[in-house]
Parts: sequence; C-alpha cells; structure tokens
Amino acid sequence: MGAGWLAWCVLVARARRRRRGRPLRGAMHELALVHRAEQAKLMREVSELMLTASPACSALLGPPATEHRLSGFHRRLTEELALARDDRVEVPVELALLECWPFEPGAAPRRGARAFARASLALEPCPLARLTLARAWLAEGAMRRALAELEKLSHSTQAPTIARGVELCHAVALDMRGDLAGAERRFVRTGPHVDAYHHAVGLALALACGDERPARRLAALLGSRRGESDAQDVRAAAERIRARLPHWRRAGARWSDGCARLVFELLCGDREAPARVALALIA
Amino acid sequence: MMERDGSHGAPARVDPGAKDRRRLLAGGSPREILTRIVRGDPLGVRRIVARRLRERALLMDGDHVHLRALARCARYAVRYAGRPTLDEWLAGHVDGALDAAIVEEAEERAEDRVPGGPWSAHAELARPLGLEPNAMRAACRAFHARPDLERQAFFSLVIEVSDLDDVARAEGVSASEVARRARRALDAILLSQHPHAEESGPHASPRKQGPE
Repeated sequence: MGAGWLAWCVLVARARRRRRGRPLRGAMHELALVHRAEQAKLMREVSELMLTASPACSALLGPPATEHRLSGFHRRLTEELALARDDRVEVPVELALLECWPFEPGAAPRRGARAFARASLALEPCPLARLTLARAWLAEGAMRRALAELEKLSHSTQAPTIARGVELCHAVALDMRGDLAGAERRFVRTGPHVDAYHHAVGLALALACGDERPARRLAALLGSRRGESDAQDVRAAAERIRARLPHWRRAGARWSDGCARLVFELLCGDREAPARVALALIA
Repeated sequence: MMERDGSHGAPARVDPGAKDRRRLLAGGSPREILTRIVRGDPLGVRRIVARRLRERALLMDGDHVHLRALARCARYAVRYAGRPTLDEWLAGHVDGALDAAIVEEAEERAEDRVPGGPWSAHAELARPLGLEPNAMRAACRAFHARPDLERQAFFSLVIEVSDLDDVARAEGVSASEVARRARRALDAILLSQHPHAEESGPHASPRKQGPE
C-alpha cells in the first residue's frame, strides 16, 4: 500500500513537471523560429539593397540605398547576430559574413542578390521571399524564371501589400519583355494605393498603348497628388519613361500627337504637370 | 461577448502594474526574458491573443499563437523603449504572431505539407467532434484566405450565434449582404473539403473573387 502510494505520487509529480516544462520548451522552439524569421527578413533586405543598384529593379524598389537606410540595416543586423549568439541559435553563414560589408552608399556589393533571396526563402518560405527572388531573377535578366515565379504568386491569395508588389514586378517584367499591353494591365490592377511614381509610369504606358480608359483613371489619381514627394516621384518616373521611350517605340507603341504632348508635359518635371495632364485627359 | 481592455484608441490610463511588467522585459538574453514571461503569463498576453483572435475573426490554435507572441516579445524586448504603451506594444506582437501563423498556413497549402506539430489544437478539437484533423485544418486555412468582412460575418453568425439584424446594424449594411458574406465564407470551407469541385463546380473557386 505504502509503496503503491509512493509510486503514484512520483508518477503525478513527473506528469506535473512534464506539463510545466512543455510550454517553456514550446516557447523556446518558437523563439528559434522568430530568430529565423528575423534572419530571413535581413537577407531579403540585403537582396533588395543590392537590387536597387540594378536598372530593372530600381523601377520597383526606388533609388539606391541612402546612408540612413544602410545604417538602420546595419544596426538591426548587429542586434540579430548578437542576440542569436546569446540564445545559441544558428546563424546562416551568408548573414554572418555581412559583418564585413562596407555600409556606405554606393560601396555595397551589387552581385549576390539572388543568393540572398534564395537563402531567405530556404530559411522562411513566404510570399515576400518569393517576390524578392522574382525581383532578383528580373535584375539578372532571367525573364522566364521571374515570370514563372510571379505567375505562381499572382494565382495565390496574398495580403494586399504583397499583391501590389507582385503586380508591379509583373508589370515591369512584361514591359521589359516588350508586352506593353500586358504591362499596362498589371499597372492598372495595382489600384489607388500605389505611389505617384508607378501611377506616372502606368499612365505613360496606357497612353503608349492608346488605352484611353485606364489612362484617364490613372491621370485622375495622379492629378489628385500634390505633395513634394509626389513631385519627386513623378520626376523619377519621367526619367524612367524617357529611358524606356525607344524600347516602347520598338515594341509598337501607338502615340497620337495629343498623347505625346501629354507625356512630354509629364516628362518636363513640372510640379503642376500631372494635374494638367489629368485635367486635359478628363476634359 | 468580447473581452475588451480598451488599449486601442482609448485615452492613456495609469496602469499601476506597468512598471513591474516592463521590468520583466529588461535585461538578459531573449531566452532569459522568455523564461521570465512564460510561466503564469505575467504580461497578460493570453488575454490579448483571445481578444485579437475574436476581433480579426480567426480560427487558430490560441496556445500556439500565445507562445509565438511571447517569443516575439522576448526577441524584440531590446527595442522597446517605453513607447507605445506596453499593452499596445504587446498587441502589435500578437498581431505579428497571427500574421506569421497565417503565412505558415498558406505555405502548408502551397506545398501540400501534412500539417501537425506538437501543439496542434486542430487534432485535439477535431477528435471529440468525430472530424478528421487534416480536414479541419484545411477548413480553417480556407476560411483564413477569405476577406476580413466575410470572416467577420461568418464569425458573428455561426461561431458567436449573433442575431442577423444586430450584425447588419453594427456593420451598417443590409441583412442580406451580411448573410451573403457569411455564405461565401461557408462555401470556401465546404469547398476545402472537396478540392476537386474547385475546378468543375458552378461557382468555382471563391478564393479568386476579389476582396470587397
């Protein structure tokens, strides 16, 4: 009786200890996953920093990295490396090597965006990592692979911000391939929440394709933007449009005199130009 | 019905325990912080998880989300400098944990991975109901892929068994619109149990409908 009772007490105590330890073990497992997610995010970021130097992807990711952006990235990288070591969590070698990176604008390596995107995808499979990989393929000119990745992404349900990124990347890829109508359709699908840069490029493409309705819609959206950053965006877009004009002509862009005038008004970088373009189109 | 602690949008109020709770996040590695905040949930993260699951109308394993949220709090504690308020900061990490869980679910579907894991609530919940855990998991995944409005309508009418007219009034839309939203979410759940109907069915793939 006594021995049986003792055995029972030991069993109950063990079971209690097991139950108490379970959440902590589970939480430690989750902590390792959180570290992995942060490391994957850093690798996506470094891939994008490299891509901003590529002419194809600067259309998607904006101008090359500023000192402020680089120093922010460096701070987060050092933090993650230190905390992962404290927690005895494995750090991917690609990320550890970044400690030797020159964190100055223009000095960052331009090659290796695909390797970082792939490493990020392996660490944490998610739509953002796939989008970064598609951008890296695009920057390398591997159009078929980029488009295959983007097709897969567009057929799955995504959060609105990711869906917009996918549409924009798809639009730029189709534009590069010479499918102006396809690119324009993608630009139009991105909706009103896209910055003025992409509205301006979308508008120019719509005009180049002679597609009046989306052009009017994009012009109306553009016409409602009056901020200083919008003006900067439109000027940056104008540069891109200027560079793309010969390519668009070769791809069979249809330009009426009116369209050309409106696009060149946009190109002149006048702050009021988008509004005037919008008004002229709507009228 | 919903547990509300007023941390969102309410004017800042004095929380006598906030200092003690903040102290739990200060000092040590993320592992040490996590050890401090897991036992007994002194930060009250479980309550926030329950609230956000209801508000976002998600059918998820609360325990799993709770552990992930605690792990996020421990990892990012080093960045917390007192702003926003602790409750808002914690809610942000609970949302981050929920978003990560949704992405993981979607990846399972994309890769046809067999779901599971040591904290699978689907298995525990499905067995007494006589359901297949994988089928239940697939149903939840399909539900989470629907737009917010449809999920909320389904959640209010089916899970919380609220009155249709009350829900319509609260949402500011007609009762038939609320019913339609809930129906679309239900269709997605039913379709997830018969994936082959997706290609051939008359209203094929509700997932492909745009958000409202």
